[in-house]
Amino acid sequence: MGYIIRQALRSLVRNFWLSVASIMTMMISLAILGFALIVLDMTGNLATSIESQVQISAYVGEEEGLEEDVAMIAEIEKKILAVEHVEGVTVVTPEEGLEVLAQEKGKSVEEIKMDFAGINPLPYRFVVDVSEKNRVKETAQKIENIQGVYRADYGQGVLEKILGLTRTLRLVGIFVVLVFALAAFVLITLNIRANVFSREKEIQIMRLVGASNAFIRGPFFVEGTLVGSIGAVIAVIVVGSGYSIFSQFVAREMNFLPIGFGADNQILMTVLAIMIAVGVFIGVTASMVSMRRFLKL
Amino acid sequence: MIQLRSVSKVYPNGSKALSRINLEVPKNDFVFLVGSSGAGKSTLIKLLFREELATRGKVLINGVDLVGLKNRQVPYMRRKMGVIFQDFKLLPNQTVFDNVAFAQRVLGQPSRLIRKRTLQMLDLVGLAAKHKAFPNELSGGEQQRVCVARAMINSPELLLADEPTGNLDVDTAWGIADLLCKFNELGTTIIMSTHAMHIVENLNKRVVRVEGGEIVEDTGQHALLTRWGL
Repeated sequence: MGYIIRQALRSLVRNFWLSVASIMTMMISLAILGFALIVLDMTGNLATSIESQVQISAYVGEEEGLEEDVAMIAEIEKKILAVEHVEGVTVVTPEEGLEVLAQEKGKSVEEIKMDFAGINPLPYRFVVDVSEKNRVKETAQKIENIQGVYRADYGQGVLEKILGLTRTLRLVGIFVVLVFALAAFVLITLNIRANVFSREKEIQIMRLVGASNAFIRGPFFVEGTLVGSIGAVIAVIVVGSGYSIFSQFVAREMNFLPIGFGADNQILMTVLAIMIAVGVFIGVTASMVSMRRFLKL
Repeated sequence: MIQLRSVSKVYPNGSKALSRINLEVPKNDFVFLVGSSGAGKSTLIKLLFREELATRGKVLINGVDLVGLKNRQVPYMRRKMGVIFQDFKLLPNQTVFDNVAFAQRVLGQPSRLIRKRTLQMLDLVGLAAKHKAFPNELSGGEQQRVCVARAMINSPELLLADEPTGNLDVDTAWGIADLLCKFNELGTTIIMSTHAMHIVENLNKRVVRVEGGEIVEDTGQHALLTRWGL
């Protein structure tokens, strides 16, 4: 075994630049795979998070002059509560709405009113929580049909856009990962092929003196596995530290983003394990393929 | 020990190397294969260590048909034989010691045993003093001695020598022939193809002449028939 490992290391050094190219390509493909998996997980989390935050905002129609009629507001609230899948309703008065708006805009309530000729432009608003997230659209339509409700919004399109983005990311990610994995595979195959040629005489003598096929193949097999593993380990370091830096940045600067970094880094561990497994798999497969093609045993 | 029964060999390009060869070599025999270049001597040797497969017929060594041998069984078959060539096939970047030890290392033998046996074998072939030299620092005869040492290190029952003196002068060739006779006396069966008729004529061993892919003369045939009481 010691002999086999020594030979494998010697081969790696003998074709140094080809080995470096193989390891780097392997590293890049695995790092892309790792980052792609993490980004996909994050966008998935983001979509889930946005989805779970979906609320319907129902506005009372101004033209009907209902904004002053408290009894009518209570009546509409009751009707909304009666709609299927509605979990709860919070009434936001025009004054409360204006305060929130002023806060968001960083202006005073008076300043906002000034922009609208001294009056509060906001109608009564009902913030509706929906129990079934995938029934938001039809619930919003039902609420809109209630007399006195002018419009019911639920952030149409945002969720669809995020899901679409996730799909695109996934496709692009898979394509890029496949291209780089193929490149890594080809480079490892070339590397081992070069080593088989440079050790042709040695292999010939090994065969003559009765070395087993496993013994002859051993160093090449170990070499492929090593290239895969070294590439994977470097990629793991790159992705692991990248993830750590990014998560700290998000926690510090962008804590409003609904991106969940698990406290136990479970997703990171899973991704790193996948990267190691894929790296070793590519290395082993490439060495087996090149041996089958170039080592006639 | 060796039986070739109606063996023919046709290479993929269509050239016929051997045609219906029959040959028996008993244990501990010393056989010279002679004949002009391209007669089929090297092909015959290649069939015996299964570098090539017979197109037709049976090649039996100790009763095992090499044609029917599975690929994974070939290494174990080869451990029972040694092979030497005209062009030596030594590893140029390894010392004499390592070239000989190599044949044991690939069989996974313990280092202490490897060292002991390698030095003993180099002593036997007269190269103990040069065990640290590299092949390019040796004469042709010395390089061939290293090859003999490597072929014999695992104590094979059979030694196949494909024109081992082809690149050597007359005196050096005799040195190699003497060495092979010594191993033959120690019990190894030897089959040696050669053009060195001065050696063949003087050693009084069995001679098999191959011409055009057929055996045209076998001096041992009579002795064999006598041995079998026919």
